[in-house]
Amino acid sequence: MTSTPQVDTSRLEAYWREQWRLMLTLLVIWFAVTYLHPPFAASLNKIKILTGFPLGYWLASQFSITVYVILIFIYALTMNNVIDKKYGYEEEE
Amino acid sequence: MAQEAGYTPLTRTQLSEFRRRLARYYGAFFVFLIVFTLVLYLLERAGLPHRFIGYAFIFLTLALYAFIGILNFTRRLEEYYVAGRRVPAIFNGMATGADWMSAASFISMAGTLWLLGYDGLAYIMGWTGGYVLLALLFAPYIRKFGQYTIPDFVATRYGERARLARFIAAICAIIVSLAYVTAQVSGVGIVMSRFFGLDYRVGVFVGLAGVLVCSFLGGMKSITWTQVAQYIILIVAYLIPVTFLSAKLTGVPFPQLMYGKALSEITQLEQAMNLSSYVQPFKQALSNASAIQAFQQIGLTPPQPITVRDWVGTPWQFLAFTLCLMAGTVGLPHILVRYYTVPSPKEARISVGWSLLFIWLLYVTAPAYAAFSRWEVLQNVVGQPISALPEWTANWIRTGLLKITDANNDGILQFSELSINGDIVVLATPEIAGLPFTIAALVAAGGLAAALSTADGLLLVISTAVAHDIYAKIIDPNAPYGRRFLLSRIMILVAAFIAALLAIPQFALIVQLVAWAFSLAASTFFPVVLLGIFWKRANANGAIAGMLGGLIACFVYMIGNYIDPRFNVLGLSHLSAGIFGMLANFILLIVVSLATAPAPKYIQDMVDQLRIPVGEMHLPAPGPAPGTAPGVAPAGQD
Repeated sequence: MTSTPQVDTSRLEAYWREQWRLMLTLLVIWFAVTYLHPPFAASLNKIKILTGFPLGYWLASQFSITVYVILIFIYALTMNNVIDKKYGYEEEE
Repeated sequence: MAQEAGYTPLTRTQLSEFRRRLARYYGAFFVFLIVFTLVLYLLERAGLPHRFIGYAFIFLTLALYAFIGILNFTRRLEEYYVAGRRVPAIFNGMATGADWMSAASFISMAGTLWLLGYDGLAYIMGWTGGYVLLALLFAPYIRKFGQYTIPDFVATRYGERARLARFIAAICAIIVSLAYVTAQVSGVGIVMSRFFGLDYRVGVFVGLAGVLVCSFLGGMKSITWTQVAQYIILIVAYLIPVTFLSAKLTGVPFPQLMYGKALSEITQLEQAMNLSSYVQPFKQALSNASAIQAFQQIGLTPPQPITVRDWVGTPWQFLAFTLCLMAGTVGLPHILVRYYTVPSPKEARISVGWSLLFIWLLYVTAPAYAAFSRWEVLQNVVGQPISALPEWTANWIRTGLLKITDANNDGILQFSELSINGDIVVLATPEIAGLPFTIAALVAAGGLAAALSTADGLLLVISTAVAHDIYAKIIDPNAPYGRRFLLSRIMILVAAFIAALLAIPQFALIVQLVAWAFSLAASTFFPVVLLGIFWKRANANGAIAGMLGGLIACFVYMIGNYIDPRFNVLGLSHLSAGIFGMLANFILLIVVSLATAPAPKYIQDMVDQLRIPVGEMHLPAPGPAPGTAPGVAPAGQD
């Protein structure tokens, strides 16, 4: 109980690399949907979509924030159901 | 760590039974809220005076919070600090939503969008995008670490200088949270006085009573279950008025989709009236108007008014401010501690998703509020004879939130003759939509729920920072359990009292402090916790240098630019000062860590454990722990 538990280093390292890959991919998408459209908002606004939204405004007010929600669920479900399983990091019962 | 005997985590079957029971309770509560609103509506039609409808809503909601508070009375520290770590992901999501969405989100954000147009969207993106960072970089690791506070994490991860690191972290947590809680308390006073005609000061104390019944008795446990109820009230109250308004103006009761029509109508009206475009980005000039106001209020000699327009039209302030809000979100202690309360790191990951989904629901709707009411104002208020303005304006002119002056004496209201306080956007929507007073009272109850739920979480952070971090961990590590508990409760009262005292004079500086809280959190906690998890080489010297340097850099830019906007980099305002604090923190943390000895082996092993998403943490015991003997590899036994 009090002794430091044994950490299987090579398994952890492989697991950590794989989680890094997923994390970086999602962070790149996060960065893109946050920072790539506002600098061009003025020009994008000339395009109207859906019920009349100027595109630049719509990207910031609806698109980006909806992508954020999706990114988190993709991360959580992939980690919990795929990557953790693959490396045997599962809850015991 | 004084772990209590006999406190075992729930098994998976017990957890899912618990979840089902919670779903039944809150489902019943939701139905009750709707029925209650309908009954009051019928009573209103039968002639019940508005005042009583208002009181019914305040009384019902405060009584409910008190009831949950009393029901969850606890004598266990594990429940008082982290709700027993058995809050299911989805309910923690709702509680985080309520914890996060304050009086400012509920009442003022739509108004800010109304006033700032595109530039206001930095708040929408910043206050949601931060949750992506929270999910990917923080939440599961904070849960795995599994202590009670954020200073706990800083002190353990940077254990070579545990006491100093803990002290700095606790002080930062107190500063950030106290500024924020003061704003909530003042939000309660505003809701009370605007809707129910109570005196602002009376409103503050009634609201505080509502906060205290919860946090005082049951700590995090009762706060959590109250916050879930508060989320339900606030989201229902937020969605109903704008849905009716959308149906009235466009024929479709789906505001989030239909405000596109409002935006294109606004654009046409603006062109006809030669106004600047609502959706045009980057219109904000730098000015020290708020500093002048704040200085005058305290009685100091205000600086000369200065406006800097050089950077209008460039995106830098928008981008930097968004990043500041995101990093600040992740660094706010009252949000981070919510992820201590879920059963496991896996639940923590999902829970952030639920949190953001529940927050998204409000944030995707706020711009609709702003657009519809701007449409209403441009179409039916501006350009009309002052003697024939729509009926709803009269009420709000009386409260002073809406000001009209016929500057050119032509009897017609021009846009420039109109001055609007942003809060009116949400508050007046029920009337604009022609809804009964019952709905307006529901909105008030929602605003109250938003302010109280955030205040609850913050007061607990402040009291734990003092009672747990400063007293029990630094001043008297052998303090008996009962005394620590008593001190926690006393500190909640003290913090609430201080917040009320600070809120009463309604200092403009407080509003400013809240906006700055994000920069402060971004400059202190964000880099230290992030590198603590992802970079084993980070050590205590680096962390302490980073936090102090970050704080100083942030303050220098903030104060400098606040007083004299000519002091700026790329046109960034004092609201974005966190960028410089964060940068200084990261650089110092990395450079000083590399220049001094790496973190000892036992801490690096701890970081390894953090990264494993299952099992409990085994923290090195304080004092002569095995870790203090450097280079001792863990033996092969289990």
